[in-house]
Amino acid sequence: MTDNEILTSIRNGSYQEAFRSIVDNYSERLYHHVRKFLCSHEETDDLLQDIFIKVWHSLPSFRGESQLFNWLYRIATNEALNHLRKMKIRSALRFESLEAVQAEMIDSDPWFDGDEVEKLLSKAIASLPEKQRAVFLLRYYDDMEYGQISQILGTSEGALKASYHIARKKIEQFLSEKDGSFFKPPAE
Amino acid sequence: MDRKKVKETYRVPDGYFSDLRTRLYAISEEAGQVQRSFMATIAPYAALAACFVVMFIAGNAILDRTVNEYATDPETEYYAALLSSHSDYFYGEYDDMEEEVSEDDIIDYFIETGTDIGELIEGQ
Repeated sequence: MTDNEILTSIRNGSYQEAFRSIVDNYSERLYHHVRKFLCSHEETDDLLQDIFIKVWHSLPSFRGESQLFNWLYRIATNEALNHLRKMKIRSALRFESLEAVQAEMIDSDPWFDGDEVEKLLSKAIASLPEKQRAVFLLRYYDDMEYGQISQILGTSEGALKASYHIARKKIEQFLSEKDGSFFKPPAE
Repeated sequence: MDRKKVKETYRVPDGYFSDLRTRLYAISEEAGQVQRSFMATIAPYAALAACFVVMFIAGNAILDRTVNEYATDPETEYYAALLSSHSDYFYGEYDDMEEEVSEDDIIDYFIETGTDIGELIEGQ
């Protein structure tokens, strides 16, 4: 089913049919989106189920004011950011930084399939504040326009551009400090 | 680095996404027909309860304004009821019902009380 057909199903009250189509069309995409936040397959798998439970319960209230894609990404991004905040608190209670915890997760990830540069980039992204991380991931990996990111994060385009610019600078600095200066994220 | 050529830097277990979809389908199957949010479910009952509360409060307020003006203890209410049933006699026609004293009334008075006319004259 296309997004419009899914929306029609929702309006007609055919929630199960709509939900199954959403799972078919978006589960893999949302997995990759969340995975980049959490840097762990197991944590992503757990959170993804929570996300889709939330999607299921929110279906009756979805009126189609925003695109289905944006709505799903907004739920997934908010849940991922909330999860990161909890991880941050848990890390702080163990006198560790979230950055260090996630760097360790990246190093010990049995499913990591990239080279050393990509590992360094993953760690650089994990060092960003949560909101900057979200902007960078949506812009860089999901190739979204700022208008779309604005609908997902509820932030103005101007602020998003500034956020991406700052995130990019931080990543460059991180990589240069770790001898990875040959990688440069695209500007704007 | 060309953004469009960015690849995922991790693998997933074999068959993971197929298994994921099966588990996610189960979310809607287990929930069944329970679709509406808690608030949506209780909203009509809450509205009905609110109507009853408003009616009760309004009704009490009206009763307080009307009953208190005249409400008294049961004994007073009893006499008030009596008065209301004889209101014409006590408040309307009492003066009109008062009769003039006739000569017969005077004669009857003298006979009944044994009063002497001479005693009356002396008493003036």
